Amino acid sequence: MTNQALLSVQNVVKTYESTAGPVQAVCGVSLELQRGAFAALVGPSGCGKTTLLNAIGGLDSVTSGRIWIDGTEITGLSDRKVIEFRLHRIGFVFQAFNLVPVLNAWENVAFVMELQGLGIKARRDRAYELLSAVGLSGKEIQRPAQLSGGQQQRVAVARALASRPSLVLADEPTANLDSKSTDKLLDIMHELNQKEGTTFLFSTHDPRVINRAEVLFQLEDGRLQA
Amino acid sequence: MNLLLSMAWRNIWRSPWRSGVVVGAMALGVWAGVFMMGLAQGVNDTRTANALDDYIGHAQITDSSFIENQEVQALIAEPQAWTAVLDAHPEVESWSERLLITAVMQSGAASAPVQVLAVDPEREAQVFKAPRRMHEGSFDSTGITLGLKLAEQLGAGLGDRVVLTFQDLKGEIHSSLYQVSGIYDGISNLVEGIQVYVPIADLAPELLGGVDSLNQPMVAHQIHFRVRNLDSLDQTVGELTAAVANPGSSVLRTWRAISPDLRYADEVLAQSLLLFMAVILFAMAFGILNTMLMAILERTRELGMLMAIGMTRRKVFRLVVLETLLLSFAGLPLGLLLGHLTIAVTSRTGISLTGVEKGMAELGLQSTIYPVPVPEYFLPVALLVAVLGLLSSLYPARKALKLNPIESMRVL
Repeated sequence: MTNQALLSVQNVVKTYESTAGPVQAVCGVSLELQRGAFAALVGPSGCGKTTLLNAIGGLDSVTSGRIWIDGTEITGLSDRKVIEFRLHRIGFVFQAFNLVPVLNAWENVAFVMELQGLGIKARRDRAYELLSAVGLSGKEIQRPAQLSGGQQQRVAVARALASRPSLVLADEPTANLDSKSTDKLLDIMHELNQKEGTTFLFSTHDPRVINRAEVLFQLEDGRLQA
Repeated sequence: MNLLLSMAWRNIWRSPWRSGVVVGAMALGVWAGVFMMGLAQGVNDTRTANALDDYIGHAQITDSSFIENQEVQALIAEPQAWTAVLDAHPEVESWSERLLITAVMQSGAASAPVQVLAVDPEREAQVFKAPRRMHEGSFDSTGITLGLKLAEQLGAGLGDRVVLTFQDLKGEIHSSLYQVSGIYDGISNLVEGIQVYVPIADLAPELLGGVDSLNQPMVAHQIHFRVRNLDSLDQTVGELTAAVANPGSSVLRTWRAISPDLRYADEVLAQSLLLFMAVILFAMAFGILNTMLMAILERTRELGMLMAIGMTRRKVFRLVVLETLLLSFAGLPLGLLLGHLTIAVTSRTGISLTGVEKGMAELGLQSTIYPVPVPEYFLPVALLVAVLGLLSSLYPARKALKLNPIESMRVL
């Protein structure tokens, strides 16, 4: 792991057991990502992008190999410590918007901060600030069902940034959005990347995301292409 | 408000109909339980009050040996000492002395064992209600007063002659002829079938059989009395006992000591009512458990997402427990309120059970039952709901705990 790298993946292998025998979804991938990068894991469907992203986020275990984020080897952490690590250091944006339907926009953003134990005022201020940053001022008390798909995904981005994470992992964040919403979302994420210095790593096969990414990692059949 | 609590509350209303049915069922269950508690308490209180009014009284003075064997010789040594104290105490409403013997009563048609109460009719009617509920004739010093059931059994009517055969103080068999002057209609068939009243002035000389040592103004096996405030009975009894200069072998006992079965009935009832409520709530708990399992199943993806963004398993567990408890408790206030209101109304109007009055009389009850409010059970009921809510949350919460974020988020 180099000194400046925020993320370091070393020779990661992920094998699934299936009825047809073991399936290797990720085959010895190694990569490094610098702090403040706006990067994407790209490749066709089934190439292992989401599997690798889940392993980086500590959502899935690896069969072998090691992953460091911000100096911590997450592949060596216990289940409880991985959850704790995710809460404080990693933000997630999922393909489906995955907001809590019974919470309004600001409460969805503040939820992660509630889990972190922040007080109500700090949570509310930060949530309102982030919603403003993603262009949703005035929508704070609207529930997900009252927001469009693009707006919901912007709330999800605000939520991902709420805990001031080192790394935001976004799994196909634009897959369910039209081009206008996609452009708007990418503008916002890029601006936040520039302004707050948050590192973004996408998994995508959307050319609009690929065009905006500053660093690309090409995956094919679970292997990183040169 | 804590966001987790707020989220739990909102989650239970995601399916308003489903949760509404559970909350409604819980409210109905609690209502039914509370009403049954009030009804049962009303039955028990009425039974106790009837027993006190008809044959036990509030408290009683006897010779200690009379308690064990009820022998005719076991007279109170100095009854006047007690009656003087009773007359002087402001809490004592009325008193009545009794001679009590076992006899055989014979009419023209049949005979039956009876318990003869030799009383001063005027005093007796001030302490007990049974002599005041006359079916025919009057309760006075002119003859014998029988219960309606005994009169039917012996085929004896008003004005008929009956013979009482009993043993006097000297152990000799004595027979006395009486004319039926009254027939009373008691609440309890048990009392009506066995107790007869004769004037103490008539029976005493025959019973004493010329025993000179007992030649005193008053003789009694028992002195019963009523107090103005039953709640302070123990205090009154303590003051009376302390006031009697020389009680000798006589003792003063409250109704609880005279008839422990009535006291135990109160205690057993309290336990039974809570058990009854627990059974209702236990059945409710299955409904809640089922609802929560469905909710967990429907929200698998969401719970997986929450774990992915950093919600610990402990907090997921807590969320499910909170939701289950809130769902359990949501119907409780409504059920308690409805139960209390129903009791408040029926405690005034009464619930008439006219079709089963004979059976009720066998139990010493009138055919109209007056439920009594039971606010003292509200806290135990709430605790029961909490315990059962907690128990029914464990399985769904455990299910939620075992979710894997990645697999859960793949669920459509």
